[in-house]
Amino acid sequence: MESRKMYNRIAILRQEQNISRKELAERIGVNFQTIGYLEREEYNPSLDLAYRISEAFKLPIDLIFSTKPFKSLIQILKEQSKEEM
Amino acid sequence: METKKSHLNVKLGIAFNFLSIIGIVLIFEYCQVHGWTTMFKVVEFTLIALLSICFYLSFIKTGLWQFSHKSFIKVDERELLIINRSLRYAYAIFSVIVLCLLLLIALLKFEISIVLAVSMILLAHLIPASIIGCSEKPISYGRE
Repeated sequence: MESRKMYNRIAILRQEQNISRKELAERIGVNFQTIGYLEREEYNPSLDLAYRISEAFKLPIDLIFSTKPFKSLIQILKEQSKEEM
Repeated sequence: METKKSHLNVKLGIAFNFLSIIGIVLIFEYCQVHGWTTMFKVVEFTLIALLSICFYLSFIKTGLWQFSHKSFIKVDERELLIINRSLRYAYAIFSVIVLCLLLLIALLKFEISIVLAVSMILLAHLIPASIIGCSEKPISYGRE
């Protein structure tokens, strides 16, 4: 069975919380290169790793991972402005 | 650009490694039958030197050898996936090589020499690392 592509917000969250790849890797117990693969969405994490990432960011798992592409900030703002109008 | 260049260098090093192993075995087997001449001795030693240099540059220096021989406890799930995949392909490739060799031995009726046996053991260890070297970018197995 071919697995679906998983989209994530790891890169944005990491920059927001000012954590380096190495720091995050140490927190979740993986090689720092694996963080790069996760951020570029070249590797789908296991459920265990996904939970470890959500625990590291202190956020629910569905806020970090999705099977559908995340909307960009511009898209969200455009939609909001349309609703307001 | 730099990554592409180093990936190409690793691939070239791996290719030279296998070519020198084949050359060493072929020359040894040929000279066992037809006798050793000075030229063949020089070529054989040159190939051994080439094998050692290429092995150091493409397997040891890049961290490929260490990566493919890492303990399963020390690797994360992505690295484990890469190692498992390389071992699966290596098993298939090595089986085909051994089967072809056994067929040749049966048909040509020649004995297995120590050099051939050593080369096969070396090959069994080199194939998984070579698969990783050819399919993965150097950053994924390189030293930290």
